[in-house]
Amino acid sequence: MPLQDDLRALANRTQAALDQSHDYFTYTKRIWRLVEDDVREGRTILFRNRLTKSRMNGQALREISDHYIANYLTTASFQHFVSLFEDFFFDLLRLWLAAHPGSLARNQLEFSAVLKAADKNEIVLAVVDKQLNEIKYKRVADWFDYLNRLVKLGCPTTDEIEALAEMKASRDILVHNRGIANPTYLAKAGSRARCQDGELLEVPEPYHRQSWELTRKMIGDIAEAAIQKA
Amino acid sequence: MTDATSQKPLTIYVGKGGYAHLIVPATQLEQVMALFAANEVLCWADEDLLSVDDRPEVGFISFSRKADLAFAQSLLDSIP
Repeated sequence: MPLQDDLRALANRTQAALDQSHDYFTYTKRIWRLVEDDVREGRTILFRNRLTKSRMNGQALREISDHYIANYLTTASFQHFVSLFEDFFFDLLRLWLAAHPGSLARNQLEFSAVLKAADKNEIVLAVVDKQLNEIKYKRVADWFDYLNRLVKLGCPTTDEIEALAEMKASRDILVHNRGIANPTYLAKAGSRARCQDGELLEVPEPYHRQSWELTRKMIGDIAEAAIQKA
Repeated sequence: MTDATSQKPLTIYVGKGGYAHLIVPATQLEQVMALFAANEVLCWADEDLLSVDDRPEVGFISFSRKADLAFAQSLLDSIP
């Protein structure tokens, strides 16, 4: 069945991207650790930029390594995990609604969109995309409420949804508030909030790993449940 | 506390912006992490170990920005 195949392909593609993202994080960090260890062992490293004439030696690299790992590498890959889940979730909804558009029967669309459409399928997708845009900016819990109204999957658990909501709230703080927690973060994260208002929101490596594991699990569970119902 | 491989004191390295790490022989990693955990030092160890040119494996411990690095170092220094 096309929908089942599409859902399976979507899940496989997203999980592969998650794995690649984690590999990038892991192996890039290892290279920084190699530099740290080499400098500690007394090796001399010198990079020279031929264009700017600037130089960077091993000591200077060692000085910035933890800063780069924590502030750029870990946070950027974490943000990527969250983005991958969001893309997966809304692509899944799009596939489902395109195959089962009945729930959108009362939705309205500007006639200009109908006139632009090449066929009925495009009209359906225009309505679907409009609906998804309205949901995207709601709370994570609302996303799953909507999904459950379309099809009862029996997953994920409330705990998993709350953990994902905190991850997304953390991502939003990293992107929009320089990593400093604020009342918006506390409201979105709820009982899972990892720090107080005004504090630096870190992404320690255990949390980074747990976030990756949760994202991967939720994608697999949701996709499999949807495939069973398709 | 002495690095079992180099016989030098285990010393926390503090870099730019106050970010810090500690390189520990793999054989001592668990002991150091237990010491820090017992004293609530905010840190975590890398998942993997590093060995270069067949030298003994080392582990890396990263510290939270909220960690009291002076306290963590004093804990290390308090152990022979």
